[in-house]
Amino acid sequence: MVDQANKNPLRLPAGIKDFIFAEAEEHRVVERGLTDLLQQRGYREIITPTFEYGEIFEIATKAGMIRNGLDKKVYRFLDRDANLLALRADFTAQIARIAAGRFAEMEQILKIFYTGKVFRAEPHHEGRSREKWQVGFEIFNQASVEADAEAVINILEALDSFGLKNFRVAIGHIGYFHGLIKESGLTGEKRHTLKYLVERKDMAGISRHLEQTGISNEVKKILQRLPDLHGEAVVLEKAKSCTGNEKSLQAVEKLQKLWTFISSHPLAAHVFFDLSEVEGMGYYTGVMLKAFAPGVGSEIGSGGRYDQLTAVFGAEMPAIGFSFDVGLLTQARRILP
Amino acid sequence: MKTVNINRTDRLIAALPKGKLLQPAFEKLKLAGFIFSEADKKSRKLIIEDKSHTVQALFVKPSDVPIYVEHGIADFGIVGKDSLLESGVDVFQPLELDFGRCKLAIAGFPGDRNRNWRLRSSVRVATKYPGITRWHFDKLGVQAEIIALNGSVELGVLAQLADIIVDIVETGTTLKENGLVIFEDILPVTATFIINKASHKLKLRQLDAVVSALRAE
Repeated sequence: MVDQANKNPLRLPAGIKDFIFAEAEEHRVVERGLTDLLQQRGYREIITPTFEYGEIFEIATKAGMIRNGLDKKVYRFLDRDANLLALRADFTAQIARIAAGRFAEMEQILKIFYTGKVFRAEPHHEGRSREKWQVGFEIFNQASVEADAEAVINILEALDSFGLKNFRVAIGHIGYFHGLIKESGLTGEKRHTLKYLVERKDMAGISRHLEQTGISNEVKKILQRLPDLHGEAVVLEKAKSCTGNEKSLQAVEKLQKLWTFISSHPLAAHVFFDLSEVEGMGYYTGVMLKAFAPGVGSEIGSGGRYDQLTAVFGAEMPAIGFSFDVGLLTQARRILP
Repeated sequence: MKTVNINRTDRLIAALPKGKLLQPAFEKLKLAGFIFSEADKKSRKLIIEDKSHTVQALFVKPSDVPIYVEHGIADFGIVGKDSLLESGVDVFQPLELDFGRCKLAIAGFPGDRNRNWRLRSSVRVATKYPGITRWHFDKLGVQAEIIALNGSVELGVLAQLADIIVDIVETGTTLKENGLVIFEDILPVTATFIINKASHKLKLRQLDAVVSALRAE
């Protein structure tokens, strides 16, 4: 082990970076590209605090906000009066707090964008950033599929505006999986394990797990096929034919309706559907979105519909949002000719 | 000698584990139509390309396969479940393959087999798998003092560095020759096909075809 006690004053914690000149500029180009595009479309900026009471991330956690143990990645500290504070770990939780607190009476559609950094205590050795720069948008008070379509088109056009080629926007709907889970009757630990296995598309694991649960063969069959339910819009028909449960069918119908809004868009070929995509912030209640670009090994942006999150802050406002990772988008642009 | 540069746009990149799993991995890839020249396989090149110019294979240490795949340097990889779980990476694992079968188990001196570790303040465990070991003993509520070794784990117990070991057991010969016995299995291990999460979306058709070809068998 290297001598840690002998501290070098020039060192930085793992996962933390300085961006100097050219690198600062290329990140700003991406940030500005996104914020300009959103501003032109009528989104207005909210600048959220860098830290606030730790409760909001706990409240959002209770609303189901657990993704890769995000709740465990919040940096918490005490102020002089022993209040528990937390660094911003997630913009959507903050924006939901602000929307519920300041716009609860508002009935018109509310469109917001933000830019800034989130801070997450990622393991030191895995080369992951502990400071992530995000630009994102949220649409409140529009529960209809038009808002979902607007979100998808924002993403497609934003990625296209940077000259990215062969990028993909994957669309899922958490309702499909929830319907199947409900039908299966699995609860607690067993349900959790199934979600974990589906997230990893671990077909063998799913089969073994379901063997031990004694659920009906019909549901078993669909759950085993779930990891294969991805592809172009035709896969939605297949997904529909797989199940008879109301909730799952409604989810697929929502996606089919969404497709009618985007299928004629010139960038529609970049869209595909994935019903086995169940990983995301636990607060999603409907459509789930992820964006990918060649040259980057993880998603360059993610989001979805979260109609119940504001309720935990005291106001019911349907919402859909998405955030781009400025660092990864910058990386994707670097491989362009 | 001709060198191969990684071509991420037009090729599928595979991370393959050096060592025991390599030959069976080549056999499997044949099923998907990917054949590598014998000369390349025997060479000491770190990157080789298949005859159809579809796949480039990177040869890496087994425990590094998950890392290459998680970071998207390789689109897919073949790796033992043991290395996969130990790495804790976030990848898709759509397929278990029918080779590299063994198990992770707890072993030690026969006389210790029936000791109740739960009633002791702690147990010293030597292992190459500190992550899986921590997960297992946490589940049992036993405080494990984990001693991470890089090889010849059995010696850890023989030399009394540790009370027990957690290690891969294939035939059990090494244990037997050193007078050790299995106390308990932790989990079955098999070679596993893993896919990077972004590649799964960006190269969906090619990867689906590979998975179906391997699954069909």
